[in-house]
Amino acid sequence: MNAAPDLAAAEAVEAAAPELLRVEGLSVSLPGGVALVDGVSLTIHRGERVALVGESGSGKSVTAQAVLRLNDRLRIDGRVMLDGRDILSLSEREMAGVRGGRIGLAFQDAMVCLDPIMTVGDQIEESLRIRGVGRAEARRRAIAILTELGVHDAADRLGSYVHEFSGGMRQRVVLAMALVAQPDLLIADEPTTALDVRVQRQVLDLLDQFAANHALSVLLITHDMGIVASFADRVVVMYSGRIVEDASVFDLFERPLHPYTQGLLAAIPRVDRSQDELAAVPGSPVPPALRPSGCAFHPRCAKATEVCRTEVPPLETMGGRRVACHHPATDGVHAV
Amino acid sequence: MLFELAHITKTFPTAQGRITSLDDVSLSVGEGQAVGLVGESGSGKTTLIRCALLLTQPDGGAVTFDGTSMLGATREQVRQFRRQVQLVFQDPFSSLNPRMTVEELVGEGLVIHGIENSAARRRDSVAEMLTVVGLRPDDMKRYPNSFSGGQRQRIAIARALAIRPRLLVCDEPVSALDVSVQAQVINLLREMQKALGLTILFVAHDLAVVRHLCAHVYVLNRGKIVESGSRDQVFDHPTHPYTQALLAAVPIPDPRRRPPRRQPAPAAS
Repeated sequence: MNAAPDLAAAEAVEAAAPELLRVEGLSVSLPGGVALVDGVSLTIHRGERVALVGESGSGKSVTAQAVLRLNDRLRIDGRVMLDGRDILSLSEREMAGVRGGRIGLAFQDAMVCLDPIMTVGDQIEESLRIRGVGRAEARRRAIAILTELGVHDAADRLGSYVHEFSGGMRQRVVLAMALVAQPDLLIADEPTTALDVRVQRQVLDLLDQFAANHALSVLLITHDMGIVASFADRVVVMYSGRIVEDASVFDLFERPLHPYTQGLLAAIPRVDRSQDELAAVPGSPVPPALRPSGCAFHPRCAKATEVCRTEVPPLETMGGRRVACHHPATDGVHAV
Repeated sequence: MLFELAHITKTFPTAQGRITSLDDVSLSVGEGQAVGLVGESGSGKTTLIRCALLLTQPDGGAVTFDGTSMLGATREQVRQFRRQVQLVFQDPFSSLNPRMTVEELVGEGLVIHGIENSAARRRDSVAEMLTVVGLRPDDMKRYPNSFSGGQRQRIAIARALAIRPRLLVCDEPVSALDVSVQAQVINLLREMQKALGLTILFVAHDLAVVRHLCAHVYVLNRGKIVESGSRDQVFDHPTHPYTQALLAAVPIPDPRRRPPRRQPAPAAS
């Protein structure tokens, strides 16, 4: 009974909301020439929450870094359109305005993103101060954002240092830094992975409420299908640097079309029921440098045929979703 | 019971006085059973493993293996214990010596415990063990860095099982692995338990993994066992508020189970 209004809401977002970010044919390679990300295209609408899912080496984090041009050693091809403007062609100075401005960024490891010798308040206010916001106003907004993220005595905590905070509080500071300049899009790379499960739930709930309050678009990078199911409107699945499937969260979990997505969902142990055997996917995810010919998943795929070994399957649209497979599921496959 | 911890207490001195890491913890593992211990960070999981493996001396309580009390045991009894109890660590990237071949890694226990002194027969044992855990005997000459995370964890399991222990203690053995690979290692542990009659003490923070592997479960919170029981009892009918909170927090991989999307809250000013 919960699904109906939610599904309607997700479809409404899809139909009505304008595009915010459109990534077209994004390829990212190392100076040596290996494509870490190979021709990724995806769209995020206003207010939409897209989960970018994949295992190690899938290119999900590299995709996010490329969108924000965070690593200038990488060669980036393709287009990244923010409100119709290609941000890959912006000057470094203009790009600095986009990062932390229109697009906020939050990473997994709070101890790496946060400066141990700067007060929490200074770190949150920094992205406002460099945009010319006055000291008093920056402080006021830092207090407001921390309060909204569930920090009760925010005004008193601004003078603290990171080491005085618990893991959950640090992650709220990381989110506050990303969100204080009121971005349209938050890119969050495994924002709760390092947290214990109860704290993870608190942080996800806070982010959920914040996103609802501000009609925030979110690109959530994660490997946790539980988090995907509870947070995302749409899911983009990556394998070895390419998108293999892109569907609404309901379609993806109820009827995954790509054998990799099917395998991934069937391999998850469930806390809410006892199971006999987990259906493990044979083999391991391949790093981009060892990407096989044709469909990168073919050595692990039970349905693979000759064409899978030789030709990269195009990402094709079928029924409002996309899948890159020579033999996508056509029957009513149910993974959950 | 093959393995029993009774009323284990362990405190550590700090600048603020002694802190209690384990407070009257009792836990028992029957022969051939897989028993899970669930706890968040800071719950005392690691201290419990250290006490259980005689790596640290508890302040009070008893550790009993196969009827022998291990605190105050003779050197010979401890040596026997170490032969019969093996550990699989969380991180297969740091738990395997990168300068040893797979053959040396898996065969090391056979040498140390003087189980197989002939190099040729030792190689046969290693080859057999590798087959059991789903690797190829040819992999013997390779070094750990040429294997993926899941394969390394198979090597670690082969290394632990090579000397045919009776109890395998697993400390978060799949939490560093990708989901598609994690299932392989969980299935392998289940097979080993069935095929070899292995007893497993599985310590993890991931509730779903514990539910899948363990017939009996203990929940550790702030150094105390707050709940224990059969898998279905603890997961389907938790009685302690902590267990209930823990289970309620786990995100379920099924979007139909999520609550309705939050509506914007009235602007706070």
